[in-house]
Amino acid sequence: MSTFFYKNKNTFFHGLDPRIKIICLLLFFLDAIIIKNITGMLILFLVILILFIFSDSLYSLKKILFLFLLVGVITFILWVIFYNGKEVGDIYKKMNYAGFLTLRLLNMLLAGLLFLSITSFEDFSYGLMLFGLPYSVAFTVLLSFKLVDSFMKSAFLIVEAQRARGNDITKGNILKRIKSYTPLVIPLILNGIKKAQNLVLALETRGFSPKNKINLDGKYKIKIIDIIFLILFILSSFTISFINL
Amino acid sequence: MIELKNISFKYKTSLPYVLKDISFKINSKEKILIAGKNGAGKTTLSKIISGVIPILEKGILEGELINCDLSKTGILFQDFEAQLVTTSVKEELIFFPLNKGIAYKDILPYAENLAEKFKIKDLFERDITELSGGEKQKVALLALLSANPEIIILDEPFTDLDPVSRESTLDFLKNELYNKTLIVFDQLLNYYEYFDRIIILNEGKIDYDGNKEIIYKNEIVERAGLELPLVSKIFPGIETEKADLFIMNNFIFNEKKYLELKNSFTEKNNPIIKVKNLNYKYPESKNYALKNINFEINEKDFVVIAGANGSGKTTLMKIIAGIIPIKEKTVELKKGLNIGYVYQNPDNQIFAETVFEEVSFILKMAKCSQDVIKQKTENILKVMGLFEKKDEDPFLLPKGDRQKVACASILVAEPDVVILDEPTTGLDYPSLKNLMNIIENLNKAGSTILMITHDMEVAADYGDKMLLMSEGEILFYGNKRDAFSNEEILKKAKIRTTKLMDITVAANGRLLLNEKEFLLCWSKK
Repeated sequence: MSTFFYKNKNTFFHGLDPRIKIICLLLFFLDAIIIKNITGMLILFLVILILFIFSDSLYSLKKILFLFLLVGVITFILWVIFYNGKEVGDIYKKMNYAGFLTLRLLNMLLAGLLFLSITSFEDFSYGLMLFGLPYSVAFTVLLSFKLVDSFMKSAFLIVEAQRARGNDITKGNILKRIKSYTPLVIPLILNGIKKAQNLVLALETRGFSPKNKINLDGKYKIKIIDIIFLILFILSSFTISFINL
Repeated sequence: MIELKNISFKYKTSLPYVLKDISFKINSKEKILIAGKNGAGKTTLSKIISGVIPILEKGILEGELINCDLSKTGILFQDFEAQLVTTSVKEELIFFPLNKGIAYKDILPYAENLAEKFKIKDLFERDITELSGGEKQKVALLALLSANPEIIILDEPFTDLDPVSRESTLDFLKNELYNKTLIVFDQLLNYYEYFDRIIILNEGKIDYDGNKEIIYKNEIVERAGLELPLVSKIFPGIETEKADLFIMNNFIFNEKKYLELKNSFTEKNNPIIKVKNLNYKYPESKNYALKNINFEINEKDFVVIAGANGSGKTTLMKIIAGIIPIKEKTVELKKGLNIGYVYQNPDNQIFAETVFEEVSFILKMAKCSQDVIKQKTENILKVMGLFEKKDEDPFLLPKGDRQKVACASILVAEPDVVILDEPTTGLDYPSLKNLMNIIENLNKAGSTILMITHDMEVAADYGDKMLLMSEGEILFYGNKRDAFSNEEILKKAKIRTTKLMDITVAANGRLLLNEKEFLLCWSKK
């Protein structure tokens, strides 16, 4: 089972230069921060969803939908409870504000997910290098993702191995599941750490060192279509932001 | 030239020596096979020659190392999956040279050319996670060759390859690496003719260092816990090419016994697993991993499953075991059927902190009493030769032992059906025989066995039925003898007959599957 969000697909968005994708991601974050009303957040939300469709990346949204919904619902409830309104008729205001903040968080998460669905870890880390970041920093980003992936894979495999031994811990009510998962937490962490140690050894035998000079000549080239897309993206991004300030 | 002078090594002061007083020289461009059983010290020696020890891994090293230079070496670990560090085949092939300072524009054509020559160009754009075990092993090997290292060290590099891929990999290594130093560590001597020099490692010491004459020195081979290639064992001193003539001149064939053997197969008629019109594709995948699968497994069947890497064998078995859930009712199991599944990669299965905990886990889940758990677990550990290691961390054991732990942790529950995905991978000959005897006895006692294997000698020795797969489809299902007689199907499934089978056919046109059948039908004049 793959725990990666990225799939090597032949869409326009997958083919964009990683530097353009990184700038667009930052613009999405910026929009989410500077937009001041719920309408703007909703527009941004819809734009991201449309991009998910056009980049054929709905599968990754499906993968993590439950978690996003959970985060959304909890955030919304918490902000409704803790909104500091004093008047009796404030419930509408409370909900509006809670919805606004929930959408802000979700927009950031969704933009990040979209980025990871159309950008491989390697393209992300090499993209950072092309912005001038040292290889050690860029590779740390790649390694962090690899380690998260390694832990997630260990978790999937342990669950699968349990099922193979007649212990399906994904079944039953929430209490039963918590009870079944608890004894697996320590082995999962140990397993993950061991795999991380192996990964470090594997990297070093493959010539990796943070001091390496990486020559990416010929790997990436910003095309005219990249520039046109970026200009359009910047224009629409600022338009959405400014009309919703 | 690399030289090891009086090298002894242990991982910790409190632990015994893994290598003892090893001395030898490796000349440039030599092709060396270093063979030894599980725990002989092969992996440690491979790490010392490559420079991984003492630079990246520490321990107590005595003696002198000359020119063991990691920067000039490419090493493929036994656990090749851990060495895949990127997300796609293309990125994997460029990672090593890119880190050696070679420009991307120069690497890409070289990597593409290598992939073309190694016949994995079709995998070039694939994600690593989509590959089968054998495909991953090929990519891991090529990923280290892409950096063009001077010295290439491979620790059991053929374990997950199908028989045709094994031979094409050996041909590739021979033809493409003629100007490199190649050192292969393995448990098998079957491919000895590809190497200039053979070294036998026995309990951390060198027991033989010489040429191909080793195949005439059975005493040394047996002492090291290894096994001569089957043909050399049955016909000592006779070249494989001349073995058929040797048989004709020195043996008499018993046609009656052959006909008895040929007609001995009977299909049982008590199905416990029925697969009907099964089609399956992984979520998010465009292609079907399994297409129109129809077959039945009878109680007490022993089915050997074989086919090319990536042909869908593991997927099919995981669906039958219920590990991959499916919505359609295309797999029908007899009520109450208990299926145990042993993984291809033991590390995908092992998670506990001690061998005892790992093996006994399934019994704890079945809520057996403490006494039963202790008795059954200790019993299987003794049978598998793991009892002395019951308190050790399974992850720190050699791969052969990890494989045994993975098998023991399923077999301990004595399931009705045991599915084993390449259980003999990484096992030395005594361990392999031991494990296969346990499996055979389980079958005789009433268990149904479904075993995936790439080892055609194991396929020839065990089981009576064969299921051959290619590109997600069943090519053949039935009498094993018929499978090995059908050249066209074998070719499609990327399966090879064994040398002994070829010799028996060359001798008189009568196919015999294994040593036992040969000795039954041919007797000395």
